[in-house]
Amino acid sequence: MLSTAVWFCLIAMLAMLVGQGGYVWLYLRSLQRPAVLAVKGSTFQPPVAVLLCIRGRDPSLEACIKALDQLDWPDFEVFCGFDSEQDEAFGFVTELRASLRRPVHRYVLEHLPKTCSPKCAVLSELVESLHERFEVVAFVDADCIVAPNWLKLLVTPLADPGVGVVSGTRWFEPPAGMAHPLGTTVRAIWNAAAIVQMHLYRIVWGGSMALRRREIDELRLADVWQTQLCEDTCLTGLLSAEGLRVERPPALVVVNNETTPLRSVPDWISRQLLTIRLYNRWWPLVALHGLSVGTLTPLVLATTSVALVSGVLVQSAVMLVSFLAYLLGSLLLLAWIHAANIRFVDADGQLRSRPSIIRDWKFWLMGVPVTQVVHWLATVNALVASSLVWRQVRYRLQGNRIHIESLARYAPDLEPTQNSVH
Amino acid sequence: MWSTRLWMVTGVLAVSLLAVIPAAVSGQEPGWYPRVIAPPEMRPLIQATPMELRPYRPMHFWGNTVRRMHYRNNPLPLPRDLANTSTSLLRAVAPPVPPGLGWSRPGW
Repeated sequence: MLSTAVWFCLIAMLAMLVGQGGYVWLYLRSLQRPAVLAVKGSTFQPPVAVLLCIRGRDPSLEACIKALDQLDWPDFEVFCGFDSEQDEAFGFVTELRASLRRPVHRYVLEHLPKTCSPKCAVLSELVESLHERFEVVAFVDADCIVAPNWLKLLVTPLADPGVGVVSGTRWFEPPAGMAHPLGTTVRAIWNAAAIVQMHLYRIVWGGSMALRRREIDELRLADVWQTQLCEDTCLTGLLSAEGLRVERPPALVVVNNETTPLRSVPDWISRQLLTIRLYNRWWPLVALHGLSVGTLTPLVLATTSVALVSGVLVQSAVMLVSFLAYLLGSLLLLAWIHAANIRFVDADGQLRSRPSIIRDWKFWLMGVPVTQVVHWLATVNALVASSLVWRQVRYRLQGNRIHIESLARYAPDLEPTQNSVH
Repeated sequence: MWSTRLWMVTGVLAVSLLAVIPAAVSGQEPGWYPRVIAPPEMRPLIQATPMELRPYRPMHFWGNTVRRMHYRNNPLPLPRDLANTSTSLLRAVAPPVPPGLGWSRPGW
């Protein structure tokens, strides 16, 4: 019996490593496109509206807006959307505008439906209110500090009429001497692995994306967003139905250096997975991967422990060595993804210290099994979730629809609430 | 006697390293340095060299990928990279590397 379990674990680890290696190989192959060269020679420079949806004063809000002010695109305007004028960030942005080179417009939500998140409601009204001269609409999150060439990389691929949306790649790079080493590293590991699936399943990231105005109008996205939790994940299906593709320029990597405690990571991952469950047809594969990866580590450790307690030292030693080899193999795959992305980060000057996977390799090695277990928990949570608390708003889930249950607009006396998925 | 020899070997290796850097700076892809672990004397020089300008080295998974992305816009190894890795590893376990070989030029 024990011998069968040992063989099963060994074969499962090998199969998992080979399978994940295949995924990473496919992802890296897709990066071999001369997209950067195409951007350099492009003359496509339409007027762009940059939409930034704000709720509360995020720590990186000021840096985000200042980075947008430094963009090297010839014709663009920034629009900050709020769900309430009471938001402290509204006053902050008003004050900050005086120190900026370019005008930053403010927009406050008029009507908040119960069927979408405040963010989607703001974006829905904002795109409808934009002047007709804007041919392209770009979206950015408040925790993204973009490089000066961000719009160049984001908008230029839209010159190809076959491209429906251009999406950036989110990259979490743990800073040196981070406050929460394990939590921050686990989120970075999870995200690095998720990039592969996002790329292969064409999942769009709204923190850095752009669409032509024509598609926004033709697909009636303003109406679609009135029934959505997030503005990005639903786009893949809508655009592919029109024969349009998702473009993900390899050089469009947006770095986030914020730290996070480990206790916040499972809910954050659950929310990311929940949006896939709600709006992406590849969810069964994503869930299957999460469940199998997360099951393997505890199974291997349990089998090793039983072998050790039973006094079968050879088998327990083989299991331990194999598990270490499996972890090292996983770390090498992560290093491969890391190295392929970090070049662009370096080129933009956003990463000035030594890369975390080299500097903190022990945390990365330790973080791999922790991430696998956290990913399993988050996948189960996303599978069975029926409600969600996100930025002080409680939602009830009905199929792939959402309904706001309590509190929607931002209020200054709001008690901070932990984001959670139930 | 041993100390003098060590200094001479280090000097030759350092000159080899300095010789290969201008090639990389000019956009030419660096060659292969057939050692997995560099001698301690070389480490300060290596660490002072930007990752893209260092030569390829066997088993240096992360650094080699960064260099491939930089020079070829392709993270995946080519057959010639695998051949270079194998040759370098064989050299590492076979007779000692002649000090004069240093870091080879492209096409090595």
